[in-house]
Amino acid sequence: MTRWLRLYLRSRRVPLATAVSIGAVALIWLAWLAFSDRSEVSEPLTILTVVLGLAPLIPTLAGDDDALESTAALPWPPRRALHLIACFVMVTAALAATRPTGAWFGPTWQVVRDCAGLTGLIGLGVALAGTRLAWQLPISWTALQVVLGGPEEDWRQVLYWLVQPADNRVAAVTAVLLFVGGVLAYALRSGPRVAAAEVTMGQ
Amino acid sequence: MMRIIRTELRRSNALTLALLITAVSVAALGTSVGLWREQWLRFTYNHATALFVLAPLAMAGGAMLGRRERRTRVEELIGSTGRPSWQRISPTAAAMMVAVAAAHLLVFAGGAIWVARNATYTPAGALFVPLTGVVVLTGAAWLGLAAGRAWPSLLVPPALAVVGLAMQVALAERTSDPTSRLGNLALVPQPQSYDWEAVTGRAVLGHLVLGAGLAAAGLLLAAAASWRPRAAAGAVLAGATAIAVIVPGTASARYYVDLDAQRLVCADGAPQVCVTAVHANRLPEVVAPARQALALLAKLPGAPKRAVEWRSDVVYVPGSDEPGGFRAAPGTVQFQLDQDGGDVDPQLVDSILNGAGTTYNGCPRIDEVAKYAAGAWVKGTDDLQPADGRIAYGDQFHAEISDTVGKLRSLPKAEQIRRVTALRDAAAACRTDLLPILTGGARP
Amino acid sequence: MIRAVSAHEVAPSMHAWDVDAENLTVKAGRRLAVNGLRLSLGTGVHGLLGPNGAGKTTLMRALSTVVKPAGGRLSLLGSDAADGRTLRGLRRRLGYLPQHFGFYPRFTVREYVEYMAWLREMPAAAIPGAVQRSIERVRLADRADSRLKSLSGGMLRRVGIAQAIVNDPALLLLDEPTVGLDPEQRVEFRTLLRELGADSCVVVSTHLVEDVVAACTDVVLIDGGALVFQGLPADLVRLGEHGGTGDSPAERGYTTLLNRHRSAS
Repeated sequence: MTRWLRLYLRSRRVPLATAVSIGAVALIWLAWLAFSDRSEVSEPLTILTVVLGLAPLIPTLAGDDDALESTAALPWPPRRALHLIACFVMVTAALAATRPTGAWFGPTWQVVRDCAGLTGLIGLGVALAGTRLAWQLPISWTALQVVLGGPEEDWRQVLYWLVQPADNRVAAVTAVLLFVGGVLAYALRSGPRVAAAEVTMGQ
Repeated sequence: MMRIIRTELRRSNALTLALLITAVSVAALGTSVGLWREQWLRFTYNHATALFVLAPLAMAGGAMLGRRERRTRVEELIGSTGRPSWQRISPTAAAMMVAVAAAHLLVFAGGAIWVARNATYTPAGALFVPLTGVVVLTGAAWLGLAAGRAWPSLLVPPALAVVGLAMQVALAERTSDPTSRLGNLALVPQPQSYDWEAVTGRAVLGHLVLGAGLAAAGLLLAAAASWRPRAAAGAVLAGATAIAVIVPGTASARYYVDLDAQRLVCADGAPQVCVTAVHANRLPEVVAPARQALALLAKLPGAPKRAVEWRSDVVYVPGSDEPGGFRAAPGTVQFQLDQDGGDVDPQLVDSILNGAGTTYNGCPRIDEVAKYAAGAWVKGTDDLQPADGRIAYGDQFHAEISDTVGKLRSLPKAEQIRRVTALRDAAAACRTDLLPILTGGARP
Repeated sequence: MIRAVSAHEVAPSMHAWDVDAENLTVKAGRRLAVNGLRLSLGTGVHGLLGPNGAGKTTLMRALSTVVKPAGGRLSLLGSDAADGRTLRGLRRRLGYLPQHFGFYPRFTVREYVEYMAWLREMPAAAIPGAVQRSIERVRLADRADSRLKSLSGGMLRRVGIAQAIVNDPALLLLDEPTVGLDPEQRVEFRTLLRELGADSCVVVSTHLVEDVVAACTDVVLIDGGALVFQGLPADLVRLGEHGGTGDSPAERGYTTLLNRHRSAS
């Protein structure tokens, strides 16, 4: 089991992606420690750090030859779902681990909620358009929310769910729905079929 | 070369990037429709603030195009061909520029059709701001192209987008400091405080130079084969950034008062009611309440015969107390139209009556109790509800007003008129101690 | 379709050999893949044979100016391959099909060949006609407007051949051009090769000995980065008549030569 896991992680280039992801979070954490006198990282920067932590993991969500891998005897959907959930757990843990230190990221529940929703969006993006284009929707929507949004009322809470306060129910429900939807979508389909001629090109 | 540019436009990700830019721009404008629907100056500002998001996205799109050569392993074949590298990337860069410009200007045109129907004042240089935006977007896309060629990993496009956003966020914090010049680099500067404030040419020039610097550096880096073009790119970028930071001046010098926008437009009939040209489309709504207020003010001797919109002669610096403004000419009462959200003040009558017609005459605002009481007396009620959006007074304040008005009404009629007129004249002269005038010298 | 012939094409050539290599060394990574090669090639179709790792692909890359030689002298079409100033003019008269050639998947066949023609600095007015001719010569005219990613492996290979011949090169280098082609297409390709070899220097690197015997005017065998044999295909066949391993005389001749070379060194 562990042998398979090791080979799988290497085939998806997970070690490098993990290093980049954790490294990016660490860089922001260090920069905040060095340059700011507040201990809680500002909200826009927290959200951007979540995105920065999740983005390097996007290429790991598809292998070099998905057509070949789909001929395997073992079922892929639960493994894919587990992969996506593991990405979410890793980034959340990395950000939550800063809580006892001198620079910590946001209310922990807000970080969990944001990370869950963004992971779901990434899963949806990969399932619909493949890993190369999957970053467009999460990053565009996040950027718009960070710039235009704030605590809102009524239906705008769904639109600006990332920037709502930690106790907001509508935003939490939105994030959970996005997470579940994304995991399901990615478990069922890992992306559009790659033409035979393009297989050698990789990602 | 034209055929190749057309091929690149059709077959590369230029069209996808254009679609993305259009969608994000429309989304950004759509959430703030009420703010810009009726004024060109506000529309160009809101359209330009989308650059905050669009520039990082353009950078990421350029990076995706830049990594195409290494990803598809075309390099070996291209290595046997003779075209120099700057000629080779020209069609790709041109296709990006066309796509980005078309998307940005298309959204501008779409919004402009709408604004043109509603707006009453068209500033001369309205088109310069979106053109500058096009240059900045092209610069970001070309810089991304260079980054994608240098590092063909799939991690680069989203990383560039997020790093671009993070830099914007950091710069945006600098714009809240009015003496800082670093905020000149931010693509979302402070908005105008009033509708007649226009962007100075130097601020637009600053962004234009920044965009041109980004574009030149991007092109040089993308075509670079040796260290010389790369060093030149670094120098160009540094120079352009320096100019963009220094030339526009501090954040407080970003806007200037456009006197053409402040030209008065008056309604027919008497008494005369005038608004500024930039608000001329609201004149019909304003005429009736203004004339009603003038009729009420006629109770006092020497009452004003004209109602004119208050205008400022200096740019408002957020956080300062001094709104500036023209002092009211004799016989004229001034009122303010510019409420947040763009709607006409629903309590216009009360606002004009506040202080018996002296609130917006260019004096600093103090001693509100006396002014509210005078206004309430003129209106004939116990209290006044001006839409004074910035300040919310507590119950004790309103109780004081009712109290003062009640005491005032208990005096003989002539004395009431004398005291309110005296208050009005004192407030018009910017005197500060107003309440004793109403209460006869004894402060409760 | 016929095309106009320009003056410089009918002018007599000023150089003795189209490809002239003297003690050529080329590095692949850190290894010396081509080591002390001496080769002279003129007009005609030259088949390049050799075992894997012999340096064939590296030699092709050196001949197509993708890599610079590490030592020795290499003269292509009369100009020195190491001289940066004449490189641009030389590359205009070159055609190259790499073993793993890259392409932009969303481009159509026509657009891709046009793009490569533009990269080879063909005069703009001549490009559409030349593209149509080369696509017709490889029998892809009916798929000329379909995207490259929708093509099969053999069709992609033919697109690669089309882009290599679009500028009517004086020196044409084809590395494994018949991979994925069915037997009928391979026969057609041999006809094309003979046409091309009539007035330009064509170097075909391949593992298929039958192709070499059928279409080439000259056989070059290299092993370990050095020249083993250069001669007519008939000589190769003759060598294979007595001994050697293989299913055809040409294959037996090939193995005989290799064994002789390896036992001699």
